[in-house]
Amino acid sequence: MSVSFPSQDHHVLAVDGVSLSLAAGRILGVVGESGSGKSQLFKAVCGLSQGAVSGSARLEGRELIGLSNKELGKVRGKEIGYVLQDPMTSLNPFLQIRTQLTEVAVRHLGLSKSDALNRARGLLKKVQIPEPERTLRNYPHELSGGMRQRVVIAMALMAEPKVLIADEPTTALDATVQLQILRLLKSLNESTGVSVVLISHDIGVVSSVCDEVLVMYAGRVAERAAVDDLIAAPRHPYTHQLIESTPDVGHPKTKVLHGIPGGLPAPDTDRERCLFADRCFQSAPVCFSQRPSVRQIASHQTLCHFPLEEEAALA
Amino acid sequence: MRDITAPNESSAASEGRTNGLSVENVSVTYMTGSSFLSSGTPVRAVRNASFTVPKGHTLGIVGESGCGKSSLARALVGLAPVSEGRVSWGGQKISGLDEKAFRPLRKDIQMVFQDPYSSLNPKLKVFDVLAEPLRTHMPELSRAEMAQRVGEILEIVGLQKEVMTRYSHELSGGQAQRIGIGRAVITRPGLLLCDESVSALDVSVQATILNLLKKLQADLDLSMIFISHDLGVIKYIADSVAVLYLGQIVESGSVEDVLGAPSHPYTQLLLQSSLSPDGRRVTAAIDGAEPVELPSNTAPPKGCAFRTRCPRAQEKCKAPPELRPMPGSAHRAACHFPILSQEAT
Repeated sequence: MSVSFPSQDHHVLAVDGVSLSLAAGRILGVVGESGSGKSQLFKAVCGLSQGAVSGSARLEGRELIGLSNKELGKVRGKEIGYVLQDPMTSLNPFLQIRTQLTEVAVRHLGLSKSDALNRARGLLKKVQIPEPERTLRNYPHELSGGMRQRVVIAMALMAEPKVLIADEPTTALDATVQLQILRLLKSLNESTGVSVVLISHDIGVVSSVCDEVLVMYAGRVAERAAVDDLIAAPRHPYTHQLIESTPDVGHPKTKVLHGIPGGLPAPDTDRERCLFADRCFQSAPVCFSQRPSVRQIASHQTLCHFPLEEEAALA
Repeated sequence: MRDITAPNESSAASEGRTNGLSVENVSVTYMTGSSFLSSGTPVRAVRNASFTVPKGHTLGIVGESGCGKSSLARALVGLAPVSEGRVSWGGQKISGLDEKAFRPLRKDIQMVFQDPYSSLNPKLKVFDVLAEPLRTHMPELSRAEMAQRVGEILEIVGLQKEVMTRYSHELSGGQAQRIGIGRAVITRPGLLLCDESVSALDVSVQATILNLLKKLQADLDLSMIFISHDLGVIKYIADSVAVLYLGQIVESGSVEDVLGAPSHPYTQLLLQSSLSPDGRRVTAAIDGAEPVELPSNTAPPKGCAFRTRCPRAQEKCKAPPELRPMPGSAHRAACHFPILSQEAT
């Protein structure tokens, strides 16, 4: 999958030939900093991208790229639920919660209004809203940020989707509420079997609930591995440096965070090379002249000419 | 008043009280819903806060949204009204001053904001962004001296001279925040307030900015107040910490003490909610554990404000707890049933 945006003198490649698969019932974390292409990738999968999309995305064997808007609308409502950072972008401020929730089920599942209302009530309970009856009558502005995000998750689940894509769902929330929402995603995954894609800039958030993690950098997948392997022994220098830059209240006070000097490569950079090479602590000439290929090492897939050894990664 | 922020240096602290920042029983009150006919309801965003920040010392302030941490910071720099109490800097009272009286102090008390882009004037080139505080506060400097200072400050914040001719929107987030910091320290202030100054940055950049602030703090012997919702950031940058809940300080002391062995159940809740790559994995919600809403700060619960969310709350908590020293530790907490160090997990 690639996504590019036309610009004055060159194309900006937001997603650069990414391939991935998500097994049913799993939680996949996608972590990356701004400009990594993590949101663009999944917008493209759902037909929400503004850019030129090439490649293929299949849901249970069915090709999604190239579907008409009408068909995509059905897929988005019914088979893929989408949760965004700001719940107000998904909610209509002028409608009661009950109207917004039932509409989805009436349209996509063909339920009667009363059945849809029952389903809405049940889902609000499932997302642990303390007073579902009252919340159904509320307008979005009458709810707190955390409650709104629960309502959006309930709305995304109304039509029993197979995949729930949550793009920075907790970024605007306080830490205590963030933890509740992450627990909720985990429990929904366990109780309904819905597959979850959790997109976040925060490797702490992603690693706390996901089975597997994908690390993106400059439109490419730098590394993919089972969560514990990725954290304990990252193979890509970017993953390693990202973990080493993350503040942790559990660290001793004396531990030094190094950060990563420099920034993303300019959009017109020649892409036949490693795009992280300029910021990497171990780059060699070949990193600047040759595009790395994906290597499989233990449970890791990593896009690096010189993947880290286990000992080096631990050091 | 006891000094809460420098528990291990009581003699240095008494000197700090005259040289550093001292905040005594400060409240910040806003009026909401005021109209032509009514003056509105008072909201006490900060209640009765007391602390000191000795010279060369960094105080971290943590709390969730709506806890009053930004109101407190803004009050300290004269941007929000101090309704009660007293703020002094270097022994001089700085609360209750009007804008004109505060202006000469701005050279010495500076602030770095969260969003580097919206806090920099988009119409000015970087050179003018940095020169502006000099023109305001040090008009005696010649053009050449100003240019020299701007050049020096760019080097100090780790930027190339070429950025001088750019506009803020042409900079990356990290570069723009470096300019925000450069603008704040160019007048050589004694007190620097950072309000969520690294929250909008990518992690890889955030760490480099934190290191820059640490270095500046040491080099310039700055007193610093660092506000953040991120306990990991606070532990990294601050010497001591004050935990704010619904406008009140519920716990304070050195970062190692408070974040290592919290006494207040709220601090413990914040610590348990703090996620990290090699931290614990979140498990599915425990049945029946319904989320508890943060009470409104217009009508906080009477007595201990945290009791509606507290697992340890009892009848006694309907009476307000006092911020008091914790037995067997060097920090203070406002709790009737504090967590004792041996039971902390």
